Order: sequence, then C-alpha cells, then structure tokens
Amino acid sequence: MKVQTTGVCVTFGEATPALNDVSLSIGEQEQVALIGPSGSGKSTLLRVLSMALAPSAGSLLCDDVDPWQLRTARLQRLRSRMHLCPQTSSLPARQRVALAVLSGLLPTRSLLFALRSLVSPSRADVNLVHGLLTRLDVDQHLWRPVETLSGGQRQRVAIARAMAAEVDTLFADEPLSALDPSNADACLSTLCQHASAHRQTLVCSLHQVDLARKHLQRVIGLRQGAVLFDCAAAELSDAMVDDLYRGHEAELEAELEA
Amino acid sequence: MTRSRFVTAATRCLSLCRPSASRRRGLLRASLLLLAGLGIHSMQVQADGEFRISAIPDEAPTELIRKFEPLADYLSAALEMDVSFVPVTDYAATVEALVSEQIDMAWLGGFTYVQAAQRSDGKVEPIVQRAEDERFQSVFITQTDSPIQSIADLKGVNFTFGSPSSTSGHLMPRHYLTQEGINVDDDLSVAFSGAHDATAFAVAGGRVDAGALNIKVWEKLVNEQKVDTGKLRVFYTTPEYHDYNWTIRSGLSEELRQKLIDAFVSLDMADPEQKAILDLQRATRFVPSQASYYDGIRKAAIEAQLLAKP
Amino acid sequence: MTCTVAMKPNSKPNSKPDTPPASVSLRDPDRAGRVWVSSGVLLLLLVSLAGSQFNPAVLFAPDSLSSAADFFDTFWPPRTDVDFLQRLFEASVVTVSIATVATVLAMIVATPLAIAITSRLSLSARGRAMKTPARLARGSLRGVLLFLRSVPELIWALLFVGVTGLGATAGIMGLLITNIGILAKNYAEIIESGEAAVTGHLLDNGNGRCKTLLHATVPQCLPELLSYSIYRWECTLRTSVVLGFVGAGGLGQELLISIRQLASPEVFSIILVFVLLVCLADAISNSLRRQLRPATAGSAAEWNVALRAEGADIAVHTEAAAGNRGRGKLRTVLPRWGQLCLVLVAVLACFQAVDWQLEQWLRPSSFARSREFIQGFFPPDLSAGLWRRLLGDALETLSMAFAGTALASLVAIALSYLLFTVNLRGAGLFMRFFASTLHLLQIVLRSVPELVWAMLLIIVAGIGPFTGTLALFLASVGVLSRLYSECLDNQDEAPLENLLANGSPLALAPMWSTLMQARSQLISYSLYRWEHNLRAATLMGIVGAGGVGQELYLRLSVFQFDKVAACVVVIVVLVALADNISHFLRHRYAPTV
Repeated sequence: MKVQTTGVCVTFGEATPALNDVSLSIGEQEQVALIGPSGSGKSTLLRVLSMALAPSAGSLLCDDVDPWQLRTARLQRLRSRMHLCPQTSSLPARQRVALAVLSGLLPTRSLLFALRSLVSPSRADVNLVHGLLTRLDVDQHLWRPVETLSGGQRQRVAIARAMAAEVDTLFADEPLSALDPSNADACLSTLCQHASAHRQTLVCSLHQVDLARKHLQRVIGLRQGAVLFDCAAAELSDAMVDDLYRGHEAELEAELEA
Repeated sequence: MTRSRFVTAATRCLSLCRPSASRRRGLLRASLLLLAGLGIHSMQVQADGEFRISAIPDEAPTELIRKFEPLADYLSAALEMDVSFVPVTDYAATVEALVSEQIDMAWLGGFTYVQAAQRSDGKVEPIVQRAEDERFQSVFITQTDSPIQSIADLKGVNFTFGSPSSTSGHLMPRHYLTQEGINVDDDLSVAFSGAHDATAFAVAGGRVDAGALNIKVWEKLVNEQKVDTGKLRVFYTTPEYHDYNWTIRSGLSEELRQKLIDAFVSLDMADPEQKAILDLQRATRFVPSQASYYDGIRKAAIEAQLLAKP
Repeated sequence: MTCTVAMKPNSKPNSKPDTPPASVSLRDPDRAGRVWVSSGVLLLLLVSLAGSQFNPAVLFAPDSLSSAADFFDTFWPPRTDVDFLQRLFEASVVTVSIATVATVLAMIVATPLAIAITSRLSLSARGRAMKTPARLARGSLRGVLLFLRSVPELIWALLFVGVTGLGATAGIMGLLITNIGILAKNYAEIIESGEAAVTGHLLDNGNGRCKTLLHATVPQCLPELLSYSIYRWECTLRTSVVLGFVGAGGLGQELLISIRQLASPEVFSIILVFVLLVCLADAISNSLRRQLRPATAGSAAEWNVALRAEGADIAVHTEAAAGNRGRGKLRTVLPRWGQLCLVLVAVLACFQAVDWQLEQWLRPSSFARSREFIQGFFPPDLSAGLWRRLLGDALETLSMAFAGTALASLVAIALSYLLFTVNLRGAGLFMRFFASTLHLLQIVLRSVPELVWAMLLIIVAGIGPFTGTLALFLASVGVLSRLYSECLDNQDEAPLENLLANGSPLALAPMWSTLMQARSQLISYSLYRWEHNLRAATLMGIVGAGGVGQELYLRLSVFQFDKVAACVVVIVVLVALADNISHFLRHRYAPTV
C-alpha cells in the first residue's frame, strides 16, 4: 500500500502538538525506520499512518484514498489491509500464544474461522503459527497463555502475529524494545525478510539507530513532532543522529551501551 | 405503670456498671433505655383484652375477610367484647397460633383440628360446626377429553392436591385413593396447588392430569362460572365425612365457651341480618360439634402417615 | 542448609538454559479437555432440562395464554388509590425495619463468631502448626456456620413459626440465622484477607488476642467489615420479601396475599414499590460504602476481592466500576458524625417499628414448646420410602438449578455481548433506547426474588419444576447480564483496540480479546449464581414449583418434624455440595480472584 501524508498535525489538547506538519510519502514495498528520542511523535505518527488515529489537521492518503472520508465499514475494510503492531503488548493476557498469533488473521478470514479457532485452531493454522514462532525462536511457547511469557517473549509473539497477518503493509511500534541486542538483531532481520518476501510495505519505529541503518532502506528522523530528516539508510550520518538526539543523549548512550 | 417499673429495673441493672462510666457509656445506657421502653410499648399494644378469631386460609384472604368480618361483629355484640379477625396465610400457622394461644378461636378443617388437638394434648375443643359439615365430600376432577374415567386410571398421572393441610383437598382424597388401591407416593406424581380453586385452575389449564378438591368450592366455582364445565368433569366423589368446625383454645372460661356456642347455634335464617351471616358461611345453621366426630379423620391421617400415633 | 524449592516446569520462561530444544507438539493440548468439558456440560444441561420437565411449549398453549392474559390484562394501570398507597408505605417501613433489625442483630452475633473462627488470631498457631483442639474447635464452629447459612431464610422462618407463632419475629429469626452464618464466614474471610504480618507482629511480641484485635485487626479491616455489612443489609432487604409466607408483615405479605387472590393491579403496584425500595437501598448502600472505600488503588483491588467472597449475590462488584465517581456525594451534604447519627436513629426507629411479640416469647409455655419442637427433629426419619422420594426431589432440585443457571448464562452472555458491541459502535438513538430498556429489565428481573417470580409464573406455566426453573432463569438473567456487562466493561481495552485498528470486524473483535480476557471471571460468576440458585431451588416446592421444598412444606404442614429434619439434611447436603464444587471449580478453572 502506498501511504502519503500532507501537513498532518495531531494535538492531544496540550499546547505542543504531538505531530506538527508532517508530510511524507511511503511507497509500496518500501522498508522504513522511524527514529527519534522519546516523545518525538513516532508512535503517534504510526497510529496516524495505520488509520488508528485521525489527524487533527492535514490529510492522509492510502492508495490515493482518504480513509477518514470513508464510511465506517469501508474504513474497516481498508484497515484490514494493514497491520499495526503496537508498542505496549496488546495481546489478551489469558489467550494462548497460538490464538494470539492467529488473531492477526482475524480481519481477513471468515466468521467460521473466528468461531472454530476459539474452540481449537485448525492443523494448518497451527502449522503456520508454529513456523512463524520458530523463526522468532519462541515456538516452544505455542500453547502457553500469554500472561506466562516474559516481556521479550511477548514482543516476539506480537511480531509473529504481525507476520501472520495477510496484509500489504506492516506498521511496528518499537517491536524490539524489550529484546536483548542479539535477539533484536535477529528478529528485525526476520521481520524485514518476511516483509520483502511477501512484498509488504514495512514501517518500523526503532530506538536502535544502528539496527535501523543495518536492516532498513530508508530512515525518517522525528524530533518534537516534526520530520528532521528523511533519507536513505546509507546516507544517515552520525552528525544527523547527534542532531536528532540533542538533549536526549542519555537515551542514545544507553542504547549504545546495551 | 408496667413501663415505669421496667425502666426502674433496667436502670438499677445498668447502675451495676462500673462507676467510672464515660460519656459514651451514658449514651449506651440512654439507647438501651429507649429500646427497653419501646419493647414495653409494643407489648402493651399486644396485651389488649380482645377476642381474636382466625381461619385456615382455604380461600383467598380478601374472601376470608369478607366472610368473617360480619360474623366478628355479630360475635362482638353477643359476647359484649371486642372481636377481631386475624388473617393468616398458612394452614399450619393457624394451628400453631391457636395452640400457642395467639388466637382464641379458629375456623379449622377436620385435619387441622386433629393436628391442633394433638399438638395441644387435646386441650383445644371443637364447639360448633355447620349442619353441612356433618356430610362433607371431595370431588376428583379431570379434563373432559381425558382418558381418566375412574380412580384406577390414575396410575402414573400427574395429580394435584390443594394445600397439604387440607382435609377435603388432601387428606381425605388421599385416604380414599389408598382405599381404592392407589399408592399415592409411588403411583402418582403429586403436586400441591395450595388451594382448592388453584387445583381447579391447574387441571383446567392442563398442567396436571387430575386433581381433588372440596365439593363446596367446586359447586361455587361452577355456579359462578369461574370454571368451564365443558372443559372439566368430575370422575369421582368421595363418601361423606365430617369437616370444618370452630375450635376454641384451651383456658377460656366456661361462661365464654357457653356464650359462643349459644351465639352460633342461635343464628337463624329467619332473621335477615343473621341470614346474611349464614349465607356468607355457606351454612343453613350451626350445630354443636364434638371431638369424637373427627376420629375418622384422625384414623385416616394416621393411616396416611400424616399424623404421628398418639 | 540446603533448601529445595519445587518449581513447575516452564515456570521461568526467561531463563534460557532450561528452554527445551524446539520440539513442541503441534497438537492443541487443551482440545480434548475442552471437548470433554463442553460435551459434559451439554449432556448435563440436557439431562437437567429433562429432569426439570423443561417444556417452553407450555407457555404458549392457549390455556396458559388465556389464564395469563386474564391476570396480566389488568396489570395496567397499577392500583394507586391513596388508601392502598398508604398501606404500601406502612408495609415498606415494616420491610425495611425487619431487614435492618435482622442485619444489625446478625452483625452483633457474627462478630465474636468471626473472631473465633479466624486463624489469624490463633495464639497456638504462631510459629508452628495450630494445636489439634484449637483446630477442631474452629473446624466445628465453621461447620455450624455452614449449616446456618445452608438452610434458606424462609425455611428457618417456617421452622420458627412453630416456636414463636406467626409474625415478624419468625421472619426476623429466619433472616437473622442465615445472616449470622453468612456474615461470620465473610467477616472471617475479610479479616484473613488483611495483611498477616500486622496481626502476626503484635501476637509475636506477646500481645493477647484482644489487644491484637483492637490494634491490628480492627484498624485494618473495619471499613471492609462495615461495607460488607451494609451490602448484606441490601441483600437482606431483597430476601425479606419472601418472608410474607410466615406472616412477617411488610411488602412481602401484601404481595403474597395479592398474588393469591390474583389481584393483578395490586401485584403490579407492590412490585413497583418493591423495585423502587430495592433501588433506593442500593443507592444508600453504595453511597455509604463509597465513603468507606480505602483511598489507595492497591487496597481497592484487595477490597473487591474481599467483597467478592460473597457467594450468594455478588453485585458488590459494581463498586469497582463506580469507583471514585461521585465519591462522597452524601458527605458534602452532611458531615460524617451527622451521617452516623442519622444511621443510628434510623436503626433505632427500625427496632421500634418491628412487632417484637414479646409476650409470645416470654410466656413459659413458649420455652416448653420450643424444647418439644426441637426434640421433634431428633432423630431424623430414616425410612427408605421417604429417602427414595427425597433423592428424586434432590435430583430435581439439582436439575432446576443447573438448567436455570446454564440457560441464564447463555442468554446473559448473548445480551451483554450484544450490549458491549452496541456501545462500541457508538450510541445511536435506537441503540441507546435499547440499552436503557435492557438496563431497566435487568433491575426488575433481579430485584424480585425467585420465589415471587415462581408465584407469578405458576399462573402461566402451572405447577411443577419447569416453573421453578423458569423463575431461577429469569432472576439469574437479570443478575448475570448485569455482572457480565460490568465485567466486559472493566477489561483492558488495549487488545480490543489493537484488533479493531487492524481491521477486525466489530462483531468478532471483542470475542477474541475482551471475552477471552473475561472468560474465567464470567465462569466464576455463573458458578456463584449456580450456588445461589441451588439454595433458591430448594424453596420452589413451597409454592408448587418443584424440588425438595415440596416434601419439606408438606411435612411442616403436618408437623412431622422428624421428616422435616430429613428434608433439612438433604438441603444442607445439597447446598454444601454445591458450595464445595463451585469453590473447587472456581479455583481450578478460574484462578482470577
């Protein structure tokens, strides 16, 4: 899916807007990293792009359609073409991992699937889920309730759910925040490969600048709700990163130390 | 008078508390006194010397009040004391009330009289009954199109009695069922509708296959067209037995007892006012009653295992 | 010294070394269990539907419809003449008084009992296992309390009619005895839910029980204890309506009389007044309880746990939702001491309004009769014929309770799910109308006790267990749908929002998130309700609506107390069984609380 914003602003009733005049365009099958210090508006931008939040001003075009002009049913159908993997775990705590991953398929599958999976998922679906979990190294937890998993394991399950979704665009909000560096590297690599293989657009907000550089094609730097830079990953210089994190150096250092 | 004496006693009792009573204890004492006073207050209301009559609730309570209030007025004049009618919602409770002397006289069925006699060790006494009560009957009813033709056909059906304490709605029908070879507990699926009219309505509604009720109530329902005789039919009528009577509690003076009997027996159809009272009782006249009339019922109750052997 | 700690496999998901090499079975391990449990439940439902002679066709038979029409046609307009309303007002005062008096007296009696049974204040248990005599004493006291609360209020009251005669005292004694059992148990649970270290510290430092009680337990638990008592008052008020059976006076008696004479306009007025009274009590109790609520969030959670311990009717839980909203509305009008005085005066007024029948109690013959009455129960009748019948009745009672609860749970889950998705969609005018109608229906359904529903339904559905089942079903739909709705509303919204943001259909998304989260809590609500319904089902026979109550009422009517004792034994066994099964299932399958 091609996503385009023009002059998007989002205010949550505070004086400073969460997003301020963001205009950008993300083409099909592009793989984009959103970086920036905490509170720079990464999550808000992802929510706007994934149609979870209507912009206060400006417009959003998804495949040249403004989703907020559509009727609810059409909007919901459009939403089913993309998947947002939110930062905080949004997996029902008492759901089993297998079902949590399958819920990525809920928008595109039939009512029958929805009902029978609640009782017990079909063999084919379980195979699919197991394959994804194996790639993320959490397959041994297939039948455990989500609430028994650690934060990092939950995050990987959430990534698996995003990968399970039959969509053409993936949005991931800090999908690696609770993972240790080696796991983070592997998971991001898996996610990017999966997106390429399925010809999906991928937009991913990240704290780890070096991982962004390593795995994604394009990097957008957000600072105080505005786009500071938007360049190919190869062009990202240390000076640009320092600029982005000015006043938030501690965050960057913590990241590097880790 | 009583109250003040009690309050003094209560105060004396409380003054045994330690002398270092705090203000809080003072409050406590005040509220205890208040409570004590209130208790006495309600006691005095209860202790008024009036003659209280009641009746088993074999009909709707308003019907009972309508039926018994004119009688209470008549008795009040005859006894020269206040007579009040106390409505009660439960058969067994009427018995208990009479036995425990909460009421002075009650209109009881044969079975409830037998119960009251047993529970009071024979101290309650039946004084009068209607002439009609000497020959009472129950009817068994079913739906017109039902295959039930006789008691023998009742095996395995749903059957409803009235109230468990009713003579004509439970005990005697059960007795005659047993006489005809039906084991009520095993051969029938039994329910209790609670009242005679409720039995008729339950059978008419088809919720049970058959039921037994008081013949007088049945006749009344038919005469007042409360039941559709196109839908219901009587398939069995019991032999005659003694039923209702007026029973007085133990410990009433002989003078009062005689006055009561005279008041009932002297009710006369010729007097229009008294005729109205008799009509409400569905009676032509009252006749003296005696305990031995109910031996049959007592025997039936013991046989049906609804009464312990004396 | 080495210490071995048993650890469940996989209990430490984070530690890498013990994660097994990827060899997880792809077979759903829960599938077989689920199939067995669901088919078991289904089978049980079918059996109990058969056992309760469930036949909805009866409702639509022309005869039923016409007798119902006769009764309900005249429902509107309700009777509103001044005389009648005044009578209802006086009856309401009596009802409130009886409930208040019974609750206050039960509080007074239950407090020492609760202190006696709680292990928190056991001296012998400090630092070692409790000594056998102490454990036996506590255990047997708990057994007695279980017995007290197992027998429904109405049955206690009917028994007391034999001692005190008709009237308010029998009613009060009925409410009082059951309340003592319930209050003492839950007081003890509340005391035990408090921080163990606080009481333990005082006891370990050599303080006696009384000092510990006053300085640790009371300051710790007083608000909860009071709040629970107020809630219990509300429940007692609701229950007290059935005591009209023993001539306890009040709205219950008016209602029973009116139903018996099929005076439908009066029935309707009385039910309206009663529903209003229950709502008023609900509001007063909520307002008082909100002020008692601890301020910190952490203790608020414990708070609800403690209150949810109540098995009979767990509407308490509303409090969690009500939260701080409108907290202390009353406080702005009246200072705290003013409220205290108000409550005190109200309680005293209630004590006065009750007809104590003192002359009845104080007469020497009453004591003799009580003794004779109690002796009549021993030994209980053990004849095979009676017990065979009682076994059948017990099975019928179980069927009624299970069928009523299961069907009500299904309907309630459908209703509350519907309501939940409707609210998600945003409130259109029609939907808002739908929601408020449903809310009103819930209030009416749950305000009127099951036994009164049964009396009304007998007019339509006739004598038999089907009527009883239907009555349990109706009341339970009211209670369960409200609890379910609140439970769904209180779940974490993030998973649902995420599913919706990803384009999941509105009708299905809550099923995969909210319902999934709430599942075990919903099940435990249904189990609580089943317990409650079993108790209620034992009464249905009194009005001819099936179950073990019929035999009990028959034997009470004919004064065969040894047979009554057998019935009471059956009831106590049934209720205790349900208590334990429900407790086991709630902890086994729904470890949420």
